[in-house]
Amino acid sequence: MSEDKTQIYDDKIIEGYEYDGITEYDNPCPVWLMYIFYFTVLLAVFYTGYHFGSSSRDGILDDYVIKLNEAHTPAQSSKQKPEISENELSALLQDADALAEGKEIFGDKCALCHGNSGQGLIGPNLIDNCWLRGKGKISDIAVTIRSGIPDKGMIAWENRIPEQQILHIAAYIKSIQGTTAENAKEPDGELVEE
Amino acid sequence: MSASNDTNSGLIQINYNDQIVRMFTLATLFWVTIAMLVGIIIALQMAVPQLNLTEWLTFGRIRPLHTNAAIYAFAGNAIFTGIYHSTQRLLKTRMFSDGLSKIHFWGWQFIIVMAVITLPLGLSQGKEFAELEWPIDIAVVLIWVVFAINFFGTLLKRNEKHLYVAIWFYIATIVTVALLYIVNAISTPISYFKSYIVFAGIQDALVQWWFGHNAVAFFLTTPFLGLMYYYLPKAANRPIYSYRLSVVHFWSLIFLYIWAGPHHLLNTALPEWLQTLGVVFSIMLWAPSWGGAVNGILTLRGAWHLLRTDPIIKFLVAAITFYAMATFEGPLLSVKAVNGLGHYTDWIVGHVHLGALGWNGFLSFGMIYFIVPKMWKTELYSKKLANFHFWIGILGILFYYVSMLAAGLTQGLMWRAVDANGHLVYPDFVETVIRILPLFLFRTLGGVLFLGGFVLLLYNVYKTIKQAPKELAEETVQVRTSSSAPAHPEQGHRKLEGMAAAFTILALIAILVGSIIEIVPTLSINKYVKTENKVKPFTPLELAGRDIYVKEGCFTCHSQMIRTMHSDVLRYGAASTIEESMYDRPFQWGSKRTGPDLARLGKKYPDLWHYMHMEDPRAVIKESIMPAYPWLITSTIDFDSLQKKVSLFKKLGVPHSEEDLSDANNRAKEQAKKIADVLKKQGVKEDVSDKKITALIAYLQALGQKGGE
Repeated sequence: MSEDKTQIYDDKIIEGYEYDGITEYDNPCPVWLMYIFYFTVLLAVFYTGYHFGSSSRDGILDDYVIKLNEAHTPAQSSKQKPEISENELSALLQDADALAEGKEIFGDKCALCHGNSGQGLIGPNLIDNCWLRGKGKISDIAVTIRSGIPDKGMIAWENRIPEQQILHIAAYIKSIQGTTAENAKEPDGELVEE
Repeated sequence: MSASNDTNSGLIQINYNDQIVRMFTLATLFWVTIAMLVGIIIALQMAVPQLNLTEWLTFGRIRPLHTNAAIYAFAGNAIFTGIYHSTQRLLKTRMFSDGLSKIHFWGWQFIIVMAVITLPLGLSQGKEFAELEWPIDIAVVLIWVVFAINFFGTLLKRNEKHLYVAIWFYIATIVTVALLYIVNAISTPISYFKSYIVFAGIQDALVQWWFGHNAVAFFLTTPFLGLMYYYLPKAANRPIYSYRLSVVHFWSLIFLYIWAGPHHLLNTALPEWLQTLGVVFSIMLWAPSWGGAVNGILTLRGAWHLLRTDPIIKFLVAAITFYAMATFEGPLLSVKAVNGLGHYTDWIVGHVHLGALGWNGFLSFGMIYFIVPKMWKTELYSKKLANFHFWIGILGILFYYVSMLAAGLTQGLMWRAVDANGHLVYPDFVETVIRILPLFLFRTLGGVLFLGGFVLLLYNVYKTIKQAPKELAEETVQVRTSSSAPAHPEQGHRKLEGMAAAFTILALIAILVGSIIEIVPTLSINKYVKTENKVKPFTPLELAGRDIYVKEGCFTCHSQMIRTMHSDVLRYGAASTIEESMYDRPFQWGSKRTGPDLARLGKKYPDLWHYMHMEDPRAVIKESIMPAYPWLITSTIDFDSLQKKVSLFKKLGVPHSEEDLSDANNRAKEQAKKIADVLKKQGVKEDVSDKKITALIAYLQALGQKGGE
């Protein structure tokens, strides 16, 4: 904080100019600052050339398109998983842990539209025997959860919830079929007798 | 002191108008308090949504009040204080007209009071920092012209031939702010308090951020640099480090600054060449900005001991340091890759406050501690209190900035996190909000500390004024008239400094170059619109809903611009195009995502979802921090004005159908009836066919549904 020892400028006051007691030194601009300026100007020229130059003109956008394509390739469609039969899935109905997990996620993500007890709210009633999509099998329910019903406002959960958990939610929904709840929404869709 | 030539004549006596300086000082103190109080309220609202009490005090309406109060009321009055004080002394003359000074003062306060009334009422043009409706805009321009006449009149009758560097900055400020404000406010009124901007879509986006960015440049930077050039050498009693540096950095700063506006629109649908200009000019601004900071700091060489003892020097040095930090961060954030991470997050909010609290705030406080004892002819009541103010102020700024930087980086990284399968790691937007909620509280604490320090200033000033003598005589000085001043053979910039008119014209040219090159090409928007991308205009009811969207300030938290970025597209759908917003007046691209982007919201949720969500957001998204809008369900749509609106838009070139044009009112009622019927079927008990909620739902469901992808 003491007086600058590496003083390279002479701190000569410019004579003849004084404003309300303020005077000015005749020091040059600091060299390092000028170098920063030249550096940024070079950078600007380079960047502008990179952008407007004939071969790299669309580089920035191309890069974005490539990235986007890369991202879309591995996401194969897996709406239906035929390897798992309905019988195997039915076993989940006996699996208390699976149902508990399904219930928890249902409460977190589905209940906002389908009601806490699946009685229907913004979305349809899930506890009656009528189905708008599929025949009420666990695999059908899982398909709906995976791909959603975008037209009606239900989003596709495939990318948001792991496959195993989707099956657990579907099993949970199957398990609450036939229960009753207050303020249940009117049944909608095709009646499926079991 | 340097004029050694013998002059025996031409000595005159000058009285400075100090009364106007005292008035502006007190106005500054009053409005800082208001601006910061509102700031603390909205900071708390973000952490605790239940604090959105009543329609008039909802975040979307009082956030514009906070920004307008901070810019026009606080910074405005502060720079007028400093300009009226320093200009008279630097030009050795009284202000041109006492009458104009008074009109300027009271006119400006009246404008601010009007803003304080109209913004909570939701009377807004929906453009950031330019929300004020057209009658107030006209008042702003008139009062600014009064200020300009008063200032340039003073220049003309000056008794000091040369204009000091502070005056250069004042000139650039006055000229540029007038231009920015007028161009960005060109609108067509349809009633006393509603108008539509003439620019649409990308034109409006570009003009708005040319204005918005340069409001920061020419309202919050150049005038304050001018103040620094006066108060720092006065307070430290040291010569300015380098005259040459002031010349170089002044001209490079004002020339380069005006180009940088598009950096607020990086990775958006704005044409690439404009984005590129925004990037490169922002980067080149680094050194010219630092030029001011370096000249300030180096001026203190040999006077560093004052930093230990003099609170004024402390405030000024800290202000310059914050300025240097913010003007380094600015170019950094203008790099496209960094911007991709930081844009729409709280990092930007932190960046702004580094400038607003650190630079504008501390510089103003230093200036006030300097001016008050001089203007009230006494000593400062307590240096100790001022020192204490400094330290809690610093602490406040650090709390504020660090928490916002952390919040911005956290949320920005969460938004873009993609797993090995190419899926978003945090697809639920609200997850990314919950994570940063504690930081909102830390930010509030920072604000409270900063305001707490300011309360000490208020007390200190109050005590100082109380001990002032009853009669405050105006300061009188003997000056030589410039005609009798010694003549130097001069050339180059020195010569220019003696020619006020030429100087002003050159400064005007410097800021016009970038403005014209960037704005004029986009005025013929057709060049950028692909004809195969046909876009349908909004229906009359959707337009009514759009007005509600603007009125409630939804744009303060929601963007409508999906950037050309991988993570944006994954989360919100295809990147937004120029065509999609080509009829939007005002454009609503937004600058902050406190909530998710809404560009493709339409049809994503059923009408009932929106109904419940607006009535109480937490009924559908448990952790949401959005305010509830219950009054939309009870207040009615203004159907009668729709006719006028549609025909105005048609005149401005929007292809509304003949039916919409001739029967807007009934067409809107029909559409509203349909929506209300659907809602009724889904379980809504009341008939909402004439309620605002219905119009808003119509608009929200139309977002991204009009073609143009």
